Parts: sequence; structure tokens; C-alpha cells
Amino acid sequence: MKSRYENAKAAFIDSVDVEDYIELDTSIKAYKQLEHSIDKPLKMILLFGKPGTGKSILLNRIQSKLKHQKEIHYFDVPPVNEKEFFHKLFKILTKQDLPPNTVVNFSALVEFCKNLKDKREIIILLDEAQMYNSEMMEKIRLLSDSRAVKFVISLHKTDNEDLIAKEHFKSRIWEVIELKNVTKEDQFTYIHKKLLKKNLFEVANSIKEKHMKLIHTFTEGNYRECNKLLFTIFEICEYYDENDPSNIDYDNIPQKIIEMAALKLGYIHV
Amino acid sequence: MYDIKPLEEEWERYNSKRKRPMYIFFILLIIIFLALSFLTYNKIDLLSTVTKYLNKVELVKVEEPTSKSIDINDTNSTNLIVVSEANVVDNALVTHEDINTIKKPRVHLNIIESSNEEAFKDVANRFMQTHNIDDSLFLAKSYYNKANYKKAIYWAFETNKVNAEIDESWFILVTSKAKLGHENEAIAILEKYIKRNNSTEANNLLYKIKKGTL
Repeated sequence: MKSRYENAKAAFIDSVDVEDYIELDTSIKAYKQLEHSIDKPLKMILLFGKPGTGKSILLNRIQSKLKHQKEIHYFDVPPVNEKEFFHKLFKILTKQDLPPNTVVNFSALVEFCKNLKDKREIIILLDEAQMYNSEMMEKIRLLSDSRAVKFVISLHKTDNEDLIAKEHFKSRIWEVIELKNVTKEDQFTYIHKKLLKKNLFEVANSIKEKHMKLIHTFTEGNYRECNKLLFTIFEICEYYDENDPSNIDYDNIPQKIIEMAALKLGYIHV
Repeated sequence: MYDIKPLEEEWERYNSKRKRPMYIFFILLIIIFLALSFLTYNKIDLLSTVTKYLNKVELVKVEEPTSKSIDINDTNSTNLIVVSEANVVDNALVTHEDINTIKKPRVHLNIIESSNEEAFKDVANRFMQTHNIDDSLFLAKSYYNKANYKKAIYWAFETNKVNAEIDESWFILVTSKAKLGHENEAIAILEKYIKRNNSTEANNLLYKIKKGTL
């Protein structure tokens, strides 16, 4: 017989699948802000925040929502090299594949983009932009100057990445959107909605207010950490459910299990 | 999940470590409680000691006028009480240590007339131990005053054995001899005394014995 915790565990597998997107007050606000910024005649939009604050899923969500209205493209993983990146960009801009054994002439590509001004508006969502080297970033900047291509650059928030933003795009970034870790209340809603989406009402009800406080303390409101912790909690619950049911209270998840999960993930130490 | 047992053990260690400050707090609480209890008990004990001490001081103060009221020269006193420092202390229920701490005026050996025969015995016993001539002279005088001349002679003689230079003792001895009708013996003793200490008082006494006007 399948454990009830198996589905609960699956609900917290870390992914950027738009199907897993949970609407919270903070995420709705960030979405609307980004949507509004995209509509503005801006060259570049900087989306930044700590890892696990929902940048990727937000970009996915907006691409999914606007793809039928706008020319919007999502670059989830940075290409392995510059050639591949421009190959991909060439295909988006020209809607043609690059002929075999050829390379993109960047100057020609810029000129092509300039000719697209007022004809097309292409939006490129660059996730994990901190992985692009400075030369590529400079070329992206030149492309954005054509005003035909708009870039949404998603960065992890570190001192170094702030420097990239400041030095290369200071004058071109007109809009900055920062994503932050969620509050305890939002995290509570997030966990409940995740479970209820899978019809796991009993499991959702077994997580009480005191558990939420503990989870928020361990994860500091970070989505990715929250997913990891909940996944581990339900993994332990699943083990007890199958092997030693006396160790588990189905109406109230024991604090011991939450702390065991936190120990396993290194949030707390002996 | 295959590592549940090590994880459980790790959690046990974490849990006991987390509870350690709580245990330490409770142990400290118990220690503080015990210390307070001990201090409170000692405080009560100290209070009772101080109260007891003050009561004793009060008793001593009460006793002092009594001892002072006893006058050695008060011949009208009907009771003969031997009042000594030891007696005062006993009456005041004060221990020897207390006396050292309480500055009580020193009470000298005062001898007052009394008809109490037991008191004479006590003084006689004390003289046997201390050979204090105050005691023997007191007994000689007392017996003389009570016209018990034999005993007066005995105690005057005992006094002279310790110290032969006391006039009063010789006069009690001689007068008692004379009172018992041994005038010649009294005169002989007195003449020998006069040869050694030619005092006016001794000559007057000799004159009185010879004339039979004693």
C-alpha cells in the first residue's frame, strides 16, 4: 500500500514547473511588477534575489503567461559558450536556423536588431545571468541598445553580482525587481497550498502553527530550502509509516521528525 | 531513507544537548533554593542566639544590684550569704565564656553575717582548699560574735598559721581565751605579741584582761 507521505514528498520536489507555481501575496506582487516593467519601453530589467527566492519560477510563469501575446523567450541555462548563445539568439531573431559550419557575425546581428525596431519587440529572459562572462554581457548590452530586444536579467544577489549590474548595466537598467524570502505566514500558505493542490488534506492539517514556526526558522523563508526540508520531513514520515508506525502521529507531525530532517540537511548540528 | 538509525541517534544527542541548559538551570535553581533555606535557617538560629544572649545580659544586670546591696559592714543583716563571683554567675545563668564577653564589675569575696550553718561549712571547706585567710578570719569573727569561743579560737589559730601578722586574728584568739576563763594563757599570748608588735590596741586589750573588764 502506498504511503500517504509519498505524494506529500513529491509535492516538494524542487522544480521550476509552472504547474507547481503557488500564488502568494508576495509572488503575485512580484509577477505584476515584472509584467508591468516588460510593458515599459525599457532596455533591461534586473531581477535579483538570493538563491531559492523564486526568480526562475517567476520567469517561467511570465513566459508561460505571455508567450501567446508577446515574443518572449526563456533562457533557463546559460549556453556552454558564446557561439551557442548567439546561435540560439540568431534563431530567435531571424526565425531561421544558422546554416551548418557558420558563425554569427555579431556586428551584422546588431544591425539586424536595429532594423527590427518598431517592427518587433522581442523579450529575452536570461536566468542565472551571473554565469555569463563579461564579454557576453557586453554584447547583450549592445543588443539591448538596438531597442528591439529587451532583456530580463535574473541574478543571484551577491556583492559581486551587484557589481556586474552596476558596472555594465548601470545606465541601461531602468527597472530593478528584488525577490526576498517569504514571511512565516506566506510560507505557511505556500506549504498548505502545495499539499492541498495534491489533495493531501490530512497531511496539510497535521502541520501545525508551531511546526511552521520551526520550519520558517530553519529555512528563513527560502522556497528552495523549504522544499528540501519538507521533502525530507515527508521522507522520514514515509519511512516510519511503512516500518514503525508507532513513531508517527498522523494528526500532528512530531517535532522530532522536523528536527531530524533539519539535522540531516545541516540546519542544526549536534 | 536508509540512514534513519544514525539520524535517530544524532537527534537523541541533539535533544540531550538542547536540554542541557534546562537541566543546569534546574540544578542551579535547586542549589539557590537550598542555599536560601540554609541561610534562612541560620538567620533564625542567629536571631535566637542573640535573643538568648541579650536575655542573659539582662539577667546579669538584674543580679548586680543584689550583689551591690550586700554590705560587709551591715551588721543588721540577718542572713549570712557568701557572695562570690561564681555565685553571681550561677545565679545569672551565665556561662564562663559569657562572663569574659560581658564586662561585669569584679565582685570581691564579701562576707556577710548569716545564721546559716551550711554557709559556714562551705566557707570552712573552701578555706581547706584555698587557705585564704579572708575565709578563716571571717569564721573566727563570726564564731566570736556568736560567742562560740572554741571555734573562734580554732579559726583564729588557723589564720595565724597562714599569716601571723594579722592583729585582728590575734585579738580574737586572746579575747576568746579570756572569755573561756583562760585569762593567764590569754595574757601570756598577748604579752608575747606585744613584745613583737608593740601596738596600743594590744596594750589596751592586755589592760582590760588583767582588770577583768573585758
